[in-house]
This record gives sequence, C-alpha cells and structure tokens, in this order.
Amino acid sequence: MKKINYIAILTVAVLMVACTSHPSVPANCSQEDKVPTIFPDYTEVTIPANIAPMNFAVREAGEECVARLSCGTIQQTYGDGKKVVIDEDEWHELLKAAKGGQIKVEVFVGKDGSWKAYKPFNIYVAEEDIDEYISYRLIKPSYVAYELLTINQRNITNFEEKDIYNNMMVGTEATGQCVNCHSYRNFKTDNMQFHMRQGLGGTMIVKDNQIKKINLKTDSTLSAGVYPAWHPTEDVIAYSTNSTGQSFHTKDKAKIEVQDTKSDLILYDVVKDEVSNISCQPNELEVFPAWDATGDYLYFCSAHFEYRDTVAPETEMIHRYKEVLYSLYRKSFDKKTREFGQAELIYDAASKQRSVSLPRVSPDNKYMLFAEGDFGCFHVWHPHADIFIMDMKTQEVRKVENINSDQSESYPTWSSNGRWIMFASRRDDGNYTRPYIAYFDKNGKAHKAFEVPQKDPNFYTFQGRSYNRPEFMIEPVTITPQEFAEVAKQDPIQCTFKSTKVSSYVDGSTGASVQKPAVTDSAAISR
Amino acid sequence: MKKETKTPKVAVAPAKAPKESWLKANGQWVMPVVFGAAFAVFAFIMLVGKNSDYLWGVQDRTIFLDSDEFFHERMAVPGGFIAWAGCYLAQYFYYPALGALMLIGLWLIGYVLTVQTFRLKGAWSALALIPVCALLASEIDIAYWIYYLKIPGYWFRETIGFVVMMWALWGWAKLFSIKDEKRSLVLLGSKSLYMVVFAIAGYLLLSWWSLIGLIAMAIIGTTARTGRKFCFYTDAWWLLALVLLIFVPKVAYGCYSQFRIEDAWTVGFPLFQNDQLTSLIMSVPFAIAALMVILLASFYPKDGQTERKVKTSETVSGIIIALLCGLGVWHANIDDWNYHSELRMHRAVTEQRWDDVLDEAASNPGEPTREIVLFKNLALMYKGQFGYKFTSYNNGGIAPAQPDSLQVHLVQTCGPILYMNYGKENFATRWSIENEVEYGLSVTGAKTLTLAALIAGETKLAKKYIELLKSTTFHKEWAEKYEPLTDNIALVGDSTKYPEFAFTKEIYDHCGSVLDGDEGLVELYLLNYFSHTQNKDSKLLNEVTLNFACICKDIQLFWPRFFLYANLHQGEPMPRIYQEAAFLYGNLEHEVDISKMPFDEDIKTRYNGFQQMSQSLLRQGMDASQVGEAMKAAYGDNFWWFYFFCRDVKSY
Repeated sequence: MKKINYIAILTVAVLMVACTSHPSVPANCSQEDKVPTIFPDYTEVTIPANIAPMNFAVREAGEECVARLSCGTIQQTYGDGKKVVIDEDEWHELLKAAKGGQIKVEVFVGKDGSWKAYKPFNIYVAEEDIDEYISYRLIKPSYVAYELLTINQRNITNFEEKDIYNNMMVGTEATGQCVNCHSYRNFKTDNMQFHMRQGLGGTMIVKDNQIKKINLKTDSTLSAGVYPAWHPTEDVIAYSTNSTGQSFHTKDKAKIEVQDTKSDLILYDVVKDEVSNISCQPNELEVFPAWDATGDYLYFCSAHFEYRDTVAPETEMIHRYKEVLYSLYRKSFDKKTREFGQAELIYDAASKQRSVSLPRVSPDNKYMLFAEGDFGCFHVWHPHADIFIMDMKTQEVRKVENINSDQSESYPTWSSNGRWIMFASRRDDGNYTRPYIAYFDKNGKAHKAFEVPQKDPNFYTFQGRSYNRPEFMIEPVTITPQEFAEVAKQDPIQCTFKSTKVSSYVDGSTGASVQKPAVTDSAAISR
Repeated sequence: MKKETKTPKVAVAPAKAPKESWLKANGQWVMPVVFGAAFAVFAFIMLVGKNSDYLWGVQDRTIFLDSDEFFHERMAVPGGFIAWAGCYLAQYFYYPALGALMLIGLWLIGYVLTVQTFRLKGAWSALALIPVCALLASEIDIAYWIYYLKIPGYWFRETIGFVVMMWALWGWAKLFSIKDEKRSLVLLGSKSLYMVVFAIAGYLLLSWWSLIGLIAMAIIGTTARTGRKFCFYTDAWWLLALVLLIFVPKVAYGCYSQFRIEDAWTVGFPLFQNDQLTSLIMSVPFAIAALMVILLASFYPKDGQTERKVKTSETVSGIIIALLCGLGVWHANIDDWNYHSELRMHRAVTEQRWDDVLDEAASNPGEPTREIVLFKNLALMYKGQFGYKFTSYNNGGIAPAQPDSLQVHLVQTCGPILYMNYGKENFATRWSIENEVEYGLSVTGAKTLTLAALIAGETKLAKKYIELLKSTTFHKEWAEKYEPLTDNIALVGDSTKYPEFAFTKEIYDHCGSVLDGDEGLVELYLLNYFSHTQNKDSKLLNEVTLNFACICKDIQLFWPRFFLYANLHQGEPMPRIYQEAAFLYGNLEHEVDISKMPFDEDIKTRYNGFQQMSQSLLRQGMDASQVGEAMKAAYGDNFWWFYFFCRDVKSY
C-alpha cells in the first residue's frame, strides 16, 4: 500500500512539473503607456492558424512576467521568469478560436515586487493556413571554413526539427564537403535536389523518392549546377553555373563580397542525365533561374559586364564590384521541344543603379518576389538589400511593405497557397540570417513579418548558425540522412552535354540581339 | 620403515615468530593510499605548478553556455553528455588550481575504482596509476593543439568517460562477487540487464569508453569459467558483449545524423585531426588507458586469490611502475618557454596589461616566436613606446615548438585579437568565426567578436555575444561591463569611461574600407596594410604606419611617413629608433638630404661606431651572421642591427 502511495505522489509530482504553470495576473500594477519590448517581436503580426506557439521573451527591466492571451471566452496566462512559453495544445485551441480574428496579448512585468501593465497588443490570425514544413540550410556565417553543415526540416505547426542531410555523415576534414541550394518541385519532397561541393562533391537528385548522385560539370559548362529551379511539370531542372570568388571588406558592414566572374544557365534533364545550355553570353552574368507557375517561362537575373582586360578578371571584378548590376529577364520555354526563346528584359534594375537577385514567382503567377540591393548578387551579405515585388500583369515593381528592415533581406519564397511569404533576414543582429514569415493578403499587401517561433524564446540569441535558403514544403522529406549519406559516398553519375540550337539574347545594356556560339558535345571535346 | 628417533626434551622458550615489517603487514592498503597520495601531489605540481597559464588558456579557448541550445548541440553525437559535462567543468580552469583539483579528484576516484574493481592489492595498485597518469599526460602534452582541437570539453570528457566506465565496471565486478553456486536465473537476468543497459546508455553517454567497458565486462564475466571447454554460463558474456558491440553502434547510427557509419565504433575517441594530418601520437594516452583497463580485466582475480601478504619484490615493482608513470608524464609535459609565454601574453593582451606583455617579452631567455614579437609590438604601440624601444627586444622569430607535424598559423593562435586591436574589426570577426567553425566557440572568440562589434558600431551583434557571455559562469561580469555600450554606442569613443577602446577606435575611425584579403597570413597582412597606409588626420595612425614601415625595412615607405610624423609632432623630440632609421636610410641611399636634420649627436656617434665595428669584423673574415652575433652586445638594441642582422624571419 505504501508503495502505491509513493507511486501516486511521484506521479502527481511529475505531472505537476510537466504541466504548464498558469501564473495569476498581478492585482495591483501601474500602467505603462507603451507596448512591451518582446523578442522575437510578435506585436501586431499576422500568423496562420496552424503555426506553433509564438513563445517570446520580455525584454523590459524586471525579473518576472505574466502574459495573458485571450480570444473571446478563451483566456490563459503564461510566464516563466521573463519568458512566455505557451502550452502547445492550449495554443492550438486558442488559434482555432481566433482564426480570422485576433488574440489579445497583455503583458505584466514584475520588478522588486511591483508590477507594470503594458499596453496590450494583438496577434492576428489569418484564415489561410501555412504549409506545415519548411527547410533551410544551417551554416555558421563564416566565409571560407565550414565544418558542420546541415539541411534541416522543421514542422512549423510544432517545434519538431530534423536533419534532412548532415555533411558530417559523409566526410570530415579532407573528405568534407559544403552543401547548398536544396530545392523541391511544387513544394513536394518526392522530387528534390541539393548540391555538394568538394570532398565527395556532386548533385543529389531525388526523382520519385529515388536518390542518385550526379556530376553536372561537363567540359562544356562552367561548373556543376549551383542555383537550381525545378520545372513545375517537366523532368528538368534549370541551373546556373558559376565561377565564384570572394573578397573581404576591411571596414564595410557587408564584410564580404561574393562575386561571379562568369556565370551561365544550363538545363538538366533528370531522366537522361543530360545538360544543355540555356544562356551563356560572354558579357552576361546569368544567374538565379526561376520558373513561373506553369513552367512556360524561365525568369533569371543577368548583369552585363564587359571586362577591360587590364588586370586578371578576378581582380577587375573586385575593383569594379559596384558596377555589377543585375536586371531581371525571362525566356519562354517550349515544353515539347524543350527549347528556349529569346531573353526578354523584364525589369531593368541596372538602369536605376540597382541590382536584383533570387526571383520567385507566386503559385498563382500574379506576383514575383526578389531581393534588390545597390549592387551585386549575393544580397545575404548586403545590408542594403530588401525584398521587392513585381505585379506580373503590370510589371510594376515596389518594395514590399511591412517586411523589410535596415539589415539584409534575401531568399524570398512563397507558400504553396501564395498567402505566405518567407525570407531570410539579418535584422536580429546583422550577422545571422533568420527565417521570417509574412502574411500576403488577397489584395496583394504584405503584413508585418514574424520570426519562425521556437520553443525557447531566446533560441535565436544562442543559435550560432544562419538559416540559409528557407523553403516551404507541404510534406516532410522521408528519405533519411543515412540514406542520403550512403548515396553521397558513391561516385557520381557523369552527365553528358547536349548541344542546343543557337538562340538569340537581348543584350542588357544595348538591347541588341547577339548570337550565342554553338557548343559542341562534351564527349567530342574529351574524346 | 623409518626409524623414529627420539630427541631429548629441552625446555625452550617458544620460538618467536619472525617480526613482520609494518609495511608488509599493512601493505595491502598502505601502498594504494601512498600511490594515490603521491599521484595527487604529482598531478597538482604538473598542472598548477607547471601549467597554470595553460589551464587558464584552456578555459579561454573553450566555453560553456547555460542554454538548451548548447546542451542539444553537444548531445547531437554519442558521448555528447561527457562532452557537455567536460565543457562545464573546464570553465573552472578560470581558477587553475580549482579546475586542477576537480580533475585530480576525478582521477583519484578513477584510481580507487580501478583498484577496487580489479582487486589490486598492495603494490600492484601501482598498475591503477597507469590509466590516470595517461589521462594526466593527455592534459599537458597537446601543445599547440590547444588552438586546433575539435573535441568539445576535451580536458574533462575523457576523464569523466573513464571514471563513469570504471564505476560501471565496479558495479559489474560486484555482481560477480555474489556467490552464485546455484546459478540463479535472477542473478543471471540482472547481469544480462546490467550489461545491456550499460551498452546502450554507455554508448549514448560515454561513446567509445562504453565499448571498452563492454569488452572488460565480457572478460571479467569469462574469468568465472573453469576448464578449457566452452561453458555457456560464462562464455555467453562474450557472446552478449559481441552482439552489443556490433549492434549498439549500428543502431545508434540510425538514430543520430552527425557521424559516419565507419566511425560508429570509434566515435568520441579523441582524434587530433585537421585537413592536413591525423596526429596519432596524441591519442596514445587514451589508447594506453583503454588497453590497461582491458589488461587488468584479463588478470581479474578469482575470489580468494588476493588475500596474501605483500612481497618486497612486489613493492619494488610497484614503486618502479609508479616512477615510470611519473617519468612518462614528465616527458609528455610541454615545457617550452615560448609556448607558455604566448599563453601568458595572450591573457595579458586581452586584459590590456601592456607592461606585463613587455615584461614577458623581455624575460624571454631565447629566440621568441613571431606571436611573442607581434604581441610585444602591439604593446609598444599601445604605450607609444615603439619609437624608443622596438629594438630593445628580440625581434627574431622561430617556429613554434610542436612535438608533432601540426602546422601552426598565427591566424588561429592570435589573429583575431591582433586584428581587433589594430582596428581591422571585419577581419577580427571573420577569423573569430572561421576559427569557431573549425574549432568551436570559445570565450576569447566571443569576447573578440563582442569588442569588434562594439568598435564597428554593430550594437545588436555585440548584444548577441554579450548575452552568450552572460550565460557563462566566470565571464558574466566582463559581459555586463560592456552591456551598457549596446544601448549607447557613443560610449565606445568615451576614453574616460572606456579607455581600452581609445587606441583601436582611433585607428578604426581613420582607416577606410577596401575589398581585400589576407590569405590567412595575419602578420604579412598587417605589415602590408599599415606600411602602405598614410593618414595625416590621426597622429596615432601615422605613428602606427611609420612603425610598420620600420618593421618592413622599406626605405620608400619610410620617408613619407617619417616626414608626416615630423610635421605632426613639431616641437616634440624625435624618438630614437625613427632617428636611427632616418640616419641609416639617408646614408644608405642618399635620396633624401639628411644633412640638415637635427639628429641627436649620440645617434651620429653610435652610427659611426657601428659602421667601423662592422667593417672591422668583416675585414677579419667573419660572415654576416658572425658579425651580427659579435655586434649584438654593443648594438643589438639599435635599428641598424635590426636592419642588417635580423634576417630570415618567417611568418606563419
């Protein structure tokens, strides 16, 4: 009997510890005429009704806090020191009630026994849900060195995060590799890809859940595929090929310039393991391919840059780095013949002394997001870079309202329903990119962005890795990191190069049509 | 048939039993105590007496953050728990004696558990010194690997792994000491469960130590076997252990995603590795400790075998073993002056104790490394004494003394702190992060990043690093000191409240921004950058550029900076070294007319003396290096000697 009592007491104790505590709201408190400073800043943001609890830390002077969250008849209090950590079940119940409406948040902060009540703020809950999963590469904001690199997936309806790929499973030191640029076809994960450089380098292609490792570099192309774009319906991926270098600012807050001395566009046939040129003009730096929703057009960025050949290209590029200005182009794509049309200038950013990168077309084909800065293409390091949007019908371009900051914003992307925008921002501290999400309403207006919530509100303070290339997915990647590692260790399948028809290109600066040189088959070159 | 012989009965007093020596009678417990005590004293001397600067450096080169994220990052691989605990305990090296005592305490527990588990009686307890002495050697033999280690919590993790494994083995041995004549199924089940739980939990918490423990358990289990035939009841431990040895790492590989399947059976074993080499010699102490455990398990005595008196020969053997252990540790210890001096200087630089930096440089009994020279030059520039004392110190430079073929680079040992002090904040940030990527975040890295961000006016970034440092045990105060600056960045320029920023801030403010790169060569970059920079708005920056032009021995770069210095310091005395350089260059190239320059008479006289002596020695048939050596006593502190005889200095 005694034993049973002990077990009962122990069980109750464990349950008490496990359950979320609900502190009481202080009876007497003075009123503060301002909204509390909280981290992450979730004041007046619009969130989806299926997002994980928006836990936050109160950054006001004091030792403890209480937050009262209410919507209609549902009301609950939270507070653990200066953190507000919300029970997941209670939160989702609250979201259900607040869908299409708002949650009122009242914050009370205690210091030396006295309490202050801050002006309440709202968290608006949209009607439209968000894709359950996001993925991103986690990398230290380093320049040359890399050690632990992972591509992770996060279920944003809760706090579950898993590795999709971890390069430490494949090799370290001399056999180590850099991983980058994961992408999915139509937000689904049965067709996806990412790239590995150095060590056991190659491009990992998942086609209908089958993995293969490909070497996309041929004798006729600049490099292996770098920035990818899956065609929405065809088994082809457009890539940029880049010859990339980097140099370091001695004082500028950008700290680093990553530049392409050359770059082209190629098309990879996933079934035939064949690559062909899309665009490879000598004085054009083509990069960042992106399909529209139907796959009839391929959008890309291109900078017109003519070398003066007085010094080595890398040196010249460093000296003239502010002259490299990317504009937005597109090429029509014939799905049957897989041929591309002439390049059309869509947005002449260069003429405005601006430079665009990373275009992404909305799933309804109505809008295009991209990052725009003063120069260059690697906007993740440019504090002057912001997210811009183009109305595809009118081709009118504007800076997206409510979501930009005085730090770098880059890597914009759409959710599968087009109602949510995700991008990488360095606004927290200027050095570490974090994933931010903003509601994009039916009227084409973006609402205040919020940082992807974490279980520990101080998570981003202690997290020392950047969130690179955030992407939405409607389902998790089911291939395990072990399965990826096994294939990654194998030798890659060598792609063949297929020569393509000569197509014309509209020169970015003169508008004149230039002839693309015919490229011979790589097999013929290498004999 | 034997004939019985009668002996006459004599009344004799009963013969006294020969008196045993006290040591023989009590040796079973005295010797282990003596060895343990001797080890503790010896370890304390080796750690605190000879390595306290290094131990302080250890906590400076590692970090423990009181955060969930830090815990989860450590737990991402098997053995993460001991890595996390190792990081936690390593921070106590902030007080080297305290950290050392904790370490010694753990070793003593490990020693006692080894003695108890393997029933090492009397002098044989000296064998239990081998693993702990190997662990002690592993603390003090790593030399410059302190900057290149990729093993979080290294300084405590293997000790914790060893102690916890020994504790589990002790429990296992206790299970086997239970009389089991009836071969009770309950006991068999308990033993099986014990082994399985240890294998799984041990692998997750202790990584490779659990596999060593598992082998030792199987050996101990098998010692119960009698006869040569296979005995399932005893030999089954081998089978179970083998199954666990094969499958636990394999299954764990499926649960973790941060190590290779090839490494599943060695995961956590300390490897001294970078992209150029794997230094196996550095892993030897751990191999010795592990092999000793297996060896002792192989000689695991059966009940009753150990209850006997201590023989003198055994005592002597034990003492010899203990002495050999001590000798091994002594030999492993890195006693290089420069290595320890660099550690002391690094600390003094971070604490801006410039006089201590200079004293350390002056006390160097031999040829210094470049790091020592660079720190010394920085201190001289901070104190504005470069023009007077630069050549009063040895400006040579030998390669760091590293016992293996590890390539040491300044950019890893002192690059970030040099860049930070010289106002190259982007480069300080860059190399702090590059080093963090490769070798993990450290206290010194976080502090450098904080200061670099504050000087560059990046308050949010500084705040982030300050928050990190506030979650440490011993660096909160430092972080809190600089926290107010994140709300009022103008205070960085307030030299009355924060004088430590004055030097760096002035250089930072007066340097422009260009796209550049250092190719990982910090000393050459600083030399090139500053000797080619010219600035008339800042006296300090002009002085720094002139100093670097002097170090470069570049006559063309020297003159414009020298003239600018003279203009900016009109009415002030010209420092001796600048005069010596100008007098030398004027005489060497005659491109600048120095006839009207007001050189001190002493400079002219000494220069003539220098010339005459060098000519005379050359006429005697000496070569340049012999001349340099012969003239060092008289002219070693002159710029001329530096110019002509301080040659072939290699940066790294």
